[in-house]
Amino acid sequence: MGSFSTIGGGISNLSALTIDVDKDWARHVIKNLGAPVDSGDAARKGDIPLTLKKVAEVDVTSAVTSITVTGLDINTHKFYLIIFMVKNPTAGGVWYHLCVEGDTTLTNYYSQYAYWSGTGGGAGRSNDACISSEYAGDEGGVLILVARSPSGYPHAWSFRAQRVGANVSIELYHACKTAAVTNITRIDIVASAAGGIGAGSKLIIYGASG
Amino acid sequence: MSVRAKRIIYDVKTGEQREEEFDFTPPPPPPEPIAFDLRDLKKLIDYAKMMKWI
Repeated sequence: MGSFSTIGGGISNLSALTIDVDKDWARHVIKNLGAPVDSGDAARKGDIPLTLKKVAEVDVTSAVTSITVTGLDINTHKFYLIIFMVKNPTAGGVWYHLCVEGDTTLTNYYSQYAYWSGTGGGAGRSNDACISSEYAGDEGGVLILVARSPSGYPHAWSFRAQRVGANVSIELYHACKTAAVTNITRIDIVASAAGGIGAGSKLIIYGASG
Repeated sequence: MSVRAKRIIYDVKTGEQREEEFDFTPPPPPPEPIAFDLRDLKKLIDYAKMMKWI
């Protein structure tokens, strides 16, 4: 491990070092230290733009009823962007709920939803944490954004792409807990029927880094 | 009535994924939505225009 106590060439401190900026340093730009200015400049940590970091990826190999992700920290990650690709292997319709901080009592949440299929639509509100659904034996994907409001209420917004081919349709959900939380360290995705999250389903959670 | 069900537990800090059984009580389904069709809305607007309401 080197030391800056003696740089060499008769120089004993870094400020005395002279860099020949006109030399072709293998086409690497040599500049004075300071805030980044050009696109090729090295960036300080605070100058690095917010990027997405994959926090969790869960593959379902056999049907389960819920997926619990622990060890989260939304105060660090700022928000969670969740992609939930799911197959409903059961013989009935299944609703999927998103719960936080281990509170899986669905009546502690409310959900508002609206859907469109062709010219037909519908809307409703339920006393639960619903963020998606699937028809019997059907599959689809849902994009969910989870964040805390300024007062600490955990919100989940979701956009569901439903069905395929000539039957494509869309569905929007907004679920919110009835009480504020100081952090989100755990998320549960809970099906309304046992085994409602089939083999091949996948859950990916992204958070902010930087 | 509760049934035995399986869940996946994934720990972000360790990257470990495991399964466990738990007692699961299926929640009631959400209430039926109020459904509508835009063609009905168009008919209503056409009727209102015909009646010179709008």
